[in-house]
Amino acid sequence: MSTYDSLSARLERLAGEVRPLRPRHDVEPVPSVAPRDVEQTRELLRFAARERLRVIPCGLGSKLSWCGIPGHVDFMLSTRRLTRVVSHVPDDGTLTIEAGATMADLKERCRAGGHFLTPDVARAATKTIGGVVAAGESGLDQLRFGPVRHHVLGLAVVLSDGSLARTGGRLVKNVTGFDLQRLYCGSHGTLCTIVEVSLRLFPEPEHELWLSTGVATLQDALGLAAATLNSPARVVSLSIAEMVPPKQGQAWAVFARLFGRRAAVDAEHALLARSWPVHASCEGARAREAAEQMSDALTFSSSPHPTLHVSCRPSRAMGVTELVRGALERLGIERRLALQPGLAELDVELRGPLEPQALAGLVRELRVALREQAAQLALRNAPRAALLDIDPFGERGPGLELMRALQRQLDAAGVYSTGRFHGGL
Amino acid sequence: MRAEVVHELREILGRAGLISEPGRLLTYECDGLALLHERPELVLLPRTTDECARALRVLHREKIAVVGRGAGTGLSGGATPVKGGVVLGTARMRDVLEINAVDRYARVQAGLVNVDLTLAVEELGLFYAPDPSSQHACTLGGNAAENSGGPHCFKHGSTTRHVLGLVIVRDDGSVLDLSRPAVDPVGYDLVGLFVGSEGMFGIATEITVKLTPTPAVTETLLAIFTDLDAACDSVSDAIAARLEPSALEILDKLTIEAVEASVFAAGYPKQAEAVLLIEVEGAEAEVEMTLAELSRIVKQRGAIDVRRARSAAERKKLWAGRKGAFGAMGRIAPDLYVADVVVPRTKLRELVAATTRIAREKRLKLANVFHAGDGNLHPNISYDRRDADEVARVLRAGEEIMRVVVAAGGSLSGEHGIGIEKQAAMSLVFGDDDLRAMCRVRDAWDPEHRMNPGKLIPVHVCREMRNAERPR
Repeated sequence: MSTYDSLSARLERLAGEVRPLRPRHDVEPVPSVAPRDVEQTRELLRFAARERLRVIPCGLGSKLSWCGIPGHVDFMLSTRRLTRVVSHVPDDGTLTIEAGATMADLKERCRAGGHFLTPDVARAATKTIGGVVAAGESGLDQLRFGPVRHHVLGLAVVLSDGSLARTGGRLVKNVTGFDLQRLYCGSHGTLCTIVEVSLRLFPEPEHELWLSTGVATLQDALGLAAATLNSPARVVSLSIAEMVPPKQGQAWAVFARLFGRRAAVDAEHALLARSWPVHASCEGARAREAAEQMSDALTFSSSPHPTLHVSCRPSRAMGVTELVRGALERLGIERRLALQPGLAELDVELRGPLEPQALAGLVRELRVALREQAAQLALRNAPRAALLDIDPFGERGPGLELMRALQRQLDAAGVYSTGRFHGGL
Repeated sequence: MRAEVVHELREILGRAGLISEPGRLLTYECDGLALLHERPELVLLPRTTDECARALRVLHREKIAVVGRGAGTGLSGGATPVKGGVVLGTARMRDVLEINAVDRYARVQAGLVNVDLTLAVEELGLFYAPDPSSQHACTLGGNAAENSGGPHCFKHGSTTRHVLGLVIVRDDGSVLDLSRPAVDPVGYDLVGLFVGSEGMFGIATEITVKLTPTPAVTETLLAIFTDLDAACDSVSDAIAARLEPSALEILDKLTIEAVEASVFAAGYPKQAEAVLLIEVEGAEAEVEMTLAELSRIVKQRGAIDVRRARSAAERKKLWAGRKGAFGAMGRIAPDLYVADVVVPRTKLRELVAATTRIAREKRLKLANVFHAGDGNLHPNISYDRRDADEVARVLRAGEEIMRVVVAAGGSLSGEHGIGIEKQAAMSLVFGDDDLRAMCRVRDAWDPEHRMNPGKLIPVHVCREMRNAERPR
């Protein structure tokens, strides 16, 4: 019996369901075990610590390729079967759910309870709440509601010694104890397995509106965005997409999502109409569909192609976008480009042609140039050959030693320390 | 403390930066929790990050415990000195270092008083959202250490949602510069982790905070009730109706009487059993609709009158009464114990009633003024610290309130932190594994446990007692 088969058999005895899964899109599959409940999850981690095994926790695995190349990995631990609703109190605006629930299911549950779930992530059916929190993935609605880490009220996590550790709670305001949920959120499974999440919910909008228009230049698009952001209208999301090739002289599309009470949305629309002279709009269920479709189209997080994720200050968005576009033009790289001007985040899907070495060179060159703009660049879904000397999460900054100390403290057995996160964590 | 060490610290900080005279040290014996006090060996008041770092290097070498302090307005004993240790205050670090109106952030020294930041940016159409009642005295560094709240955090969130970056001086005097504002952190979220760590991870010397645009329209309502329960139920109804005002604050009869007899008199009707102070902000249409629905709810719950502030001056006066409430209670008794617990918002009425019952049973005077929209209760007990029996009853009442709240799904603190006051009660909320994870994180930041030792984590879990004593 091979090592793979022997480990699979042992995992199956512990938790029942085992199947192969790649730790990244270009890494050989390892056994992936999906425990049925939190107790089984703890048992699996105790087993891993005892046997000195390395584990990557995941949900459905949609963001594994955001990370670098892992060192040795023995098995994946998927929380996809942990889907129990622990507590849903619509009248308090809170939800506590096990980590494997999909974002699509949660959205439906929240809507039935009169609430809107943030983050409103793209391709919600392919993501679990645990995976979203572990990756710190926010949706385009971050402009209105803030990043996902602001809405996590509490977490239950399993540490590498199998202990179940809770932090925060289920209350909308709470400063009892250290804010460890902020540490775990965005840690990409390098400190713990998230097994339960408590979230704050927001009112389900009564009415929804989707606006779109086209403009000739990036400057026009950013001017429109600035007028929108400086108006009293509280847009939920605001996006700019490059149109390649341009259509009827319009090289940039601008999209805005409004929602809330009907009269308020109508008043906001009237306000925006002054700066959006020519635009298409749709409302209600059609607006929601349009928002979902555009979210899927403008979010390249699960793309099969390498993607650049650049963040900067809003005042630098123009310079940063031009800088990145200029570099891609020079290299003749086919791309899709989307900008969230209110968040000052730029996402670029690199459709090629681009060899891994050229990709690495491009990232190095851009990082140097972006330093001047106080911007940072993450490389997602890149082939392993491009990552040999590139940290996909960004340049190493202050605090890395402290991060290592935190990992040593929380993962003394080294179970979660697979070297795939920032700085080799 | 050895004279050479004092001399070395004075060389670094100058005469104005070091206090050693017993009379002047008295001021620093306690924070807002006057029940607990300890005289520090020295008080250090650096002017810059560099001075702070050099001083901490000396203290690290000498293994001396350090307690950080902003303005000392905290209410949980977070800034209470430890025996043999020094207090490191940020009172001389009050500069605004940078204001960026386009990118909506400000970088300031940690000792800047909260309200001074809003005053510095209001002409730009911006404000700093977290607004603790003590905002005219408390510092942004203290706010970050405690993850402070305030009435308008109902809409805008507590301090943690507004801190974008920090410069931290760690236990060994090394400087950790996390001041570059970023949408998402690269690596672990050290800034988010630090906020609310109650001075146990280091001293923040510079803070970068988010600035919020001043809303187009702000309206304030005062709903008057003859029954405190009805005021509580109105808030629960407003939350259940998915309404989003920016503040929902309740003041009960005793608080109203104290405020109206003080310099903070706001025109609250003295015959009322409770008032609900409501603020709504945003675009005009949205504000009007929310106000209409809230008015309907409070009337349905029996409000006898709903007044709308007619001017900015009137609105300011209504808020001055609310924010001055704690100070006004000095009229009832010489001392005030401000409890701070959070409850599910569906259980406001029953838990407010429970706190009243507990105080009555203990023969104590209790006034309620609280952030009802967040479920953040502040049962305030007036007492005289010279009366030992009354002090004992106050402490028992505080503990009982925490037990009742936790049993109903609530928690120990919404904005004041744990400090010493609630340290033992942490075990009501968290199990040993939860607390051990906190200890491990603390060990990564401060392996020798010299930064604010003996706070927050119960003694039995991390052998805090031994570690608190070791550095002396």
